[in-house]
This record gives sequence, structure tokens and C-alpha cells, in this order.
Amino acid sequence: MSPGTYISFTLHASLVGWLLFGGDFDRKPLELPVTEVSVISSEMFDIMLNNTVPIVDTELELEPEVAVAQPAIEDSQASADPSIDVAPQRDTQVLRPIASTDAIPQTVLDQPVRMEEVVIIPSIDLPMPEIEADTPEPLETSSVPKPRPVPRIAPIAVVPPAPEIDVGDITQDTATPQVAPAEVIQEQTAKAPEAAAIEIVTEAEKPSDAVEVSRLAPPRSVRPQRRPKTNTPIDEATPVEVQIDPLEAALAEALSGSVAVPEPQMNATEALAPHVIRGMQLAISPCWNLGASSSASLFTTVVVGMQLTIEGKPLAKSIHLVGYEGGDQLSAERAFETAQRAIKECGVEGFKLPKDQYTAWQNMEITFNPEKMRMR
Amino acid sequence: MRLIYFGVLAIVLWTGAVLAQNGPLKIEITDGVIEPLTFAVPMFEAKNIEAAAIATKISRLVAKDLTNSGLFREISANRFIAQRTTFAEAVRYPDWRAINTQALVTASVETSSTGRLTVKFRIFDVFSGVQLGRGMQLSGSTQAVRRMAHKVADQVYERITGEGPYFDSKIVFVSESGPKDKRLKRLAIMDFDGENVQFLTGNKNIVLAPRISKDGKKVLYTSFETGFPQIYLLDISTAGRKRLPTSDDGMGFSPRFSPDSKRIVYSLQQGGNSDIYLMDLATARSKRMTLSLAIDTAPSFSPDGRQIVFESDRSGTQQLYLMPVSGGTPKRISFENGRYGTPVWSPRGDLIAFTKQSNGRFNIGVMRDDGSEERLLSGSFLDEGPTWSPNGRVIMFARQTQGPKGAPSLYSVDITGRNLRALNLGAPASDPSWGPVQP
Repeated sequence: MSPGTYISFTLHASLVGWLLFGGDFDRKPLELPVTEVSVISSEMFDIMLNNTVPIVDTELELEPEVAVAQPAIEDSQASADPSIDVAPQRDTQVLRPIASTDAIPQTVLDQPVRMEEVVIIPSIDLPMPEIEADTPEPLETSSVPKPRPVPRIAPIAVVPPAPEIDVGDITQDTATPQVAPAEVIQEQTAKAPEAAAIEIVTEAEKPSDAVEVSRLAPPRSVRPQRRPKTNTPIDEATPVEVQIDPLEAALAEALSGSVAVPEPQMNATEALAPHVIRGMQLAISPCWNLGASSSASLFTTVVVGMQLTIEGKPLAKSIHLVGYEGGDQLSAERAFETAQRAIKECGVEGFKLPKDQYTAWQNMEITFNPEKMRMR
Repeated sequence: MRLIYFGVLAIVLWTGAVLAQNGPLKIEITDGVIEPLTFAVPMFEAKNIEAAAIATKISRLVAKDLTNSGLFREISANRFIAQRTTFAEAVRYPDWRAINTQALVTASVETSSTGRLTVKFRIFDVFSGVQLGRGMQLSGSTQAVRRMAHKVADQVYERITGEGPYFDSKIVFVSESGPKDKRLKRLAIMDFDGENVQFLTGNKNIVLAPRISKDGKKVLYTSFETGFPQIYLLDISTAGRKRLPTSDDGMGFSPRFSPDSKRIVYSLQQGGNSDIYLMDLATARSKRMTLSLAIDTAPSFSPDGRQIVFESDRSGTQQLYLMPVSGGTPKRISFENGRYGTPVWSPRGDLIAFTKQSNGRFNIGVMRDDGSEERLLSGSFLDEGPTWSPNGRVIMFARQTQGPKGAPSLYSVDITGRNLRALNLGAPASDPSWGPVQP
């Protein structure tokens, strides 16, 4: 045997020995990644595929009605599970099928609920008593109640008393000397106010007056302005005789705003000063009570028209619904009633409006818009 | 020619200006006041001696109903100028205007030998000086005094405000008693004002979430009689009840009637998952409406019965969703911060009331069905379970006080957020469900 054979034998024997006794065969296999897979039923698989909802047929018969038991005294110490005094538990519980033989525990009922009968006879025409004729036009001038006629106490007219009592003697106090002398205020001569300036301030330097002047100043100058420049340069060398049409010139001036154009005729709303309109709004707002309005009425805007007397009192018969928006007929009617109540309640003494501008506010259209009130 | 043209133009302009000047003055009012409307209810006239006490009772109840609505304020009788107002006499408007009365109710009450009670009444707008609507009369037994009074108040409320009536209605709720850790619960029914409480079930078993039908004749509720929550249907007039077959192996809860009371929607928990189901009461067959691994619960029908709103945590937090009853993909409608639950559609269909939990407080709020215009109407340690009045104007809910002795009680609030009132029942109460106006 050659030395090579010995060497090869030795190496192979060592390798086999290392494999056998080196523990390589006892080593744990490498871990493989594992994914858990749940098993679903074929029904669920169909559901997932078809995305349909199955019908769960319980096939259970309705249980017969439990006869009403006689009232009995219950055991007030009956144990109750406090843990179920909450919403249904979300934890999974072990469920027990309810056997069909499960007897329903006897329920004790005090007594069946008795409903009393009430019959409504709506819209019956009850005889209406004689109502005082409504004040035909303006509202009542005062909220103070009128004196009512009082029946006579004595059935027979009594002779009037002799006119010997001097009413004046009773009511008039006799003149008596004043106990404490009245404080006499010495007449004083007028003095210049202390704040009078010692230096002369010119009108130009006086800021307040300047403001006043600017307020009174017209919005634009009444002086005619220069004619608008034309785009085409005029050849000054060769003067051109221009034919001026007076009509066109007047029109051009008016359009360019170069002359003092009289203010256009304003409508009634524009004719009144803003503070008058604001005053009217403030006068009605406190009486426009939406506290008892329906939810639908709070979404209904109504326009109410009316006429007023020169004293600013609304004419009761003139108050009418001009139109509405945002609701149905019923909600509009209720919203109108609320608005009408506001006008009549706050207008009973008459709204304070400038009489010299009566024509401007004789007819009014008030829009009651509850949009802001919904948020309150 | 030009002169003629401009002459005509000037005339037209002048005419327009004159016409404009003679047109009405236009004013817009945008500010008003929100105050209760003042009203007077003079003692109703008794047509006979037997009716005297009833007339007093009815007039006082009418005034109380109107005042409690928060929309009216009664003028005290000691301010009346006209001390005696009979039904037949003409109304002296100046007398009532002088004490700032805006609405006036006059009535007469008469009893017959057969035990019938007749109430005739009129409503007047004092400042307008007109009668509102026509006179009405009610007829009923002398046992129905409270209902007669509520009916009169309903008519006044409806005629003046334009809202639907709600005083003559009943509320089903859970009446509670005993210590907090051993609370006994039973179903009860009462008038809207907390009077005339009658119990519908015993207190042996826990009952939850009663829901009255739109006709006011039946009540759905959840009971733990079998140890698990199951849905029961109770007939108010006979007190008969039956368990609805929701499922063999699930817990049914949170039921609610459809507007026609022929179907119900409810939650069914099976294997830890809650979904919404629809049941036809005639056939007792259920149809699954939602299919998600989230908790879907607290469904409520829209007034037209075509959609439901429910709460779900499918997005990670508890939010409100809409979906058609015919099926489809739920659409989320609440997006603000916080957790939303127990949605209830208004009978008018314009709003959805809900419970919202945010910043450590519970609120009752309303929003449009697209989630817009969210408004919170109340807030406390624990406010929950809103229910709508039949006219959709008032919301009632349960408020739980804090602490070991804390107990729930019922509150009502106007949808404007005003007039928050506690209902004094003398005992803890929760889970209100407002019934319809009685016929």
C-alpha cells in the first residue's frame, strides 16, 4: 500500500468519525417561515366570492303567548347579576344553545295597561260669541286697558248732591310761610370758558372744522373738468373748424361726470337715512320672538307687507304675507303669524319715523330672516 | 329726432324714479329674541257643579304641559285683569295685551249623567286679536281627564308652534330599584310627563332596551330570563309576551321595530361576532344584513323604512353607519373625534340622535343623515340611550350620576339644546322609548 493510500484512508476515517460523533446529525433543522391559514366553510367561501348575504332560516316556531299570570308578590331578594347592567359584552362567551324545552320563567305583570278613550271632534263650529269689532284700521294707541262700563249700583237715580262743597278748598293747600329760607343763588355775569384759547387758531388749522367742512362738501367738484384727451393728435398747424353738436357735448359731459349731475331719484329705502331704517329694525327685533317657532319655521323667511299711519302705527288690516322662502305653506303661515305678532306688539305705540318723509315709509315690506336665529 | 328720443327717455326715467319712490320701504330683520311665548289659561268654565274639580284639573294640566315644553310661559292668574272669563263671553283683547299675554286658551268642561266628559276650547292670538283655528271639543270618559288635558295642550301647542303634538303619548322605560350592585329592573310604561306609571314585567330578570312600536301597542325588549340575552315581544294591552326565535346559538339584543311594526332589526352575537339581522315578524325568518368581523349593533330604521343606521367598530373605533335595508355596503357618516353609539332616527327623518363619548364625557347629540351639522345637546358623566318624541322636537335620554350611589334618571331636552329637564319619577329609570301620540 502506498503512503497515499494510508493518507487517504486516514482522512476519510476522520471525516466519517466527525460526521458520526460531531453531533451534526442532531442539529435542529432550520426554521421555516409559517403562515397561519384559517379554514372557512364552503358557505362562507361562497359568500366571499359572491358577496351575497345568506338567509338564516331559524325554522323556529313562535312560542305561544304566555298567559298573563295573576299578580303575585315577588321575591325582592332575587339575585341579579350586576355585571350585565351594561351594554352587551364584547368578550366572547361560551354560548349554550337554548333548548326548545326551556321554560320561560313566569313573568309577573301588575296589570294590563288600560288606555282611556278620548274622542276628538275637530273643527267643530262652536257658536262664536260676539267679539268686539276690531278697531278698523290702526292698532290700539295704548296698551292700557279701557275702562269697562259698570252697572249702576242704585236702581233709582239719586239726586245729585248740593253744590256747596268747594273742591278747591279741599285740594288746595293753604299758603304757609317757608320754614327754611330758600338758598338764593347770586346772579353771575357770564364768563368766557376757561378753556378759551389764548392764541389764535386759524380756520385752516382747526381740525374739527376741517372735518365738518369736508362732510358738507359735495362729493365732487361742480367745476367743469378739462375735456378728455383724444387719442389722435391734433395738427395745430392746420386749425380745424370743429362742429360742436350741443347735444353730444352735453351727453359726453354727463358721461364723463364732469358736471354736477343731480342725484338720481332714489327709491323709498334709499330715500330714508340709514339710521331711520336701523331704528325701525331695532324697534321690531325685540318683539320678533322665535321661541315658540317650529323647526321648519326657523328655516322659513317671510316677507310681510303693511301700511302705516302718519303716526307710524301699522294698519292692522293691511298686514299681509307678500311671500316666503325656504319652507312649506304651513311653516310660512306660522312664520307670518310670528312676524305679524312682532309688528303689532312693538307697533302699538307707533314706530318713530320722520313724518316729513311719510311717503317714503307709508308702505313697508319687512323681510323676517331667521337664519341667524337658528344658531342661537 | 334726437330731441324726441331723449325726451321719451327722460319721461321713462322720471316715471321709473317716481314709481321707485312710491314703492314700499324694504327692511330686513335678522335679529329677534328666543323667549317662551306668554300664554294665559284662565280657569276653565265648569258647566255643572260636578265638572268644577275636573275643570280646575284640566286647566292646570294644560298650563303645566305647555310650560314644561319650554316654548311657553304662563301668565300668573293674579295678574289677570279679566278675573272671570267664560267660554261664551267675548275676549277683551286689551285686557290681555295689558299684561303681555300673547296666547289665550278658554274652555268649558261639562259632565253628563252617563259619565261622559266634554271639553270645548278655543285658542286666541291676543296681539293679532283673532281666534287661531276653529273651536274644538273633546269627548271621553271622566276617567280620561289627564288624556283630555294632554289633548287640549297638544292642540294649543300644534296650532301656535306648527310642530306636531306629543303631550298625549306614553313612554316605556326600565324602572330600577335596589342597590347598584344588585339592581332590579323591570319594564314600565308612563305618561310623557312621568305620571301614571304601570309595570309591564316583574323584577325577577334583568330587562334591557325596551322599544315601543310605532302604533304603541307592542314592546320589544331584551331579557336575561334564560341566562342569555334574548329578544321578547310584549303586547301592552294583553300583557302577553313571546320570545322571538333569533337563533339557536346566539345572543340576540338591541331590537327595534320597523316603521310599519312588521319587521324588526336586531343584533345577534355568534362566536364573538355581532351582526345586524332583519326579521319578518309574520314568518319569524331572519336575514343577515351585515357581514363583518366587527361589532355591528344598535340598528335603527329610517322613518321610510328603507335604511338603517347602526354603530360599528369596523373602522377601529365605534362609529355610525348607514345602509339600505335591501342590502349594500354600509356608509360611514360620523367622522368627528370620539365614539358614537345608539343612533336613533328622528320620526321626521331630518336628524339622527346618538350617544357620543369623547373627552371622558358622554353626550347626546344630533346630526344630519349625512353626518353634517353635528350638535351636542347634553353632556355629563354618563348620558345615553336617546329616544325621540313623536313630533321629533324633544329627545329623552338616561343620565347616570357618578359614585357608588349613582343612579340613572330620565331627562328630556329640546333639539335646540334648550329646556333640559329631569323627569321626577321618584326612582331610578333608564332606557326610555317614546311611543306615539295616542289616537
